[in-house]
Amino acid sequence: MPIANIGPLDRSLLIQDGPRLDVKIGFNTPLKDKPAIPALLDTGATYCCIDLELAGRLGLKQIDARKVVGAHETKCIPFFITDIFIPELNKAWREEFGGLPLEENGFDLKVIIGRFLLSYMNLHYEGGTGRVQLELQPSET
Amino acid sequence: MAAAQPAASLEDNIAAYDDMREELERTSFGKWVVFHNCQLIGSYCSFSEAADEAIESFADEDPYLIRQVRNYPDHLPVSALIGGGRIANR
Repeated sequence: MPIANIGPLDRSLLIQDGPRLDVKIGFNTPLKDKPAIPALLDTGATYCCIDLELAGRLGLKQIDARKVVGAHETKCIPFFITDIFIPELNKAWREEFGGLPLEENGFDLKVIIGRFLLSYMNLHYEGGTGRVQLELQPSET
Repeated sequence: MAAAQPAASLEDNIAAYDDMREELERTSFGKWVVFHNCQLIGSYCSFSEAADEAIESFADEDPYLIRQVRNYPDHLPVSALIGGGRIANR
């Protein structure tokens, strides 16, 4: 079963940065030759998110706009068809990504992986050592 | 010959979904539905199935809605709002 080792192996770095891994993003196009983009795993997010400017640059297709609930506010955001490839798992999915102005808001990452995509994987998180592993669900291999 | 009607906008398709929402929650709860030209095209077990069908069936520039029928709210990632990742240039 493919396993991605994504933790920094350092407790403090894991606290500071969170679990991150490289992904490749596009829409209806081969992904393996695309540049890698660092993404944050976020179990607090229902779905994946992408920076709005990056979504426009990649030509992602908008297929919804709806209200979502945040810790501080409720707002209407666009959603896009997004193809995502995780090189370390050698696996691609087609998923719905919400668009947020991440870079404009000073966030240092342009992609967030939420629970919809994580539902295809097992996440092993060792806070004490900074070791984090992602493993494909058997049904995904 | 009359020019072809432009496809309905995404907003119009969302309005069509809202008009059918109660019925969809009874008949297709948990499924992903596709609306095009304000018509329900179908319901699917996964987002990727729905998206594959829409990409195959409609022109690239045509607006269409893909939405999961559910009655609980989506949650924004807290990290994106309060800095769970590092803040750039700090």
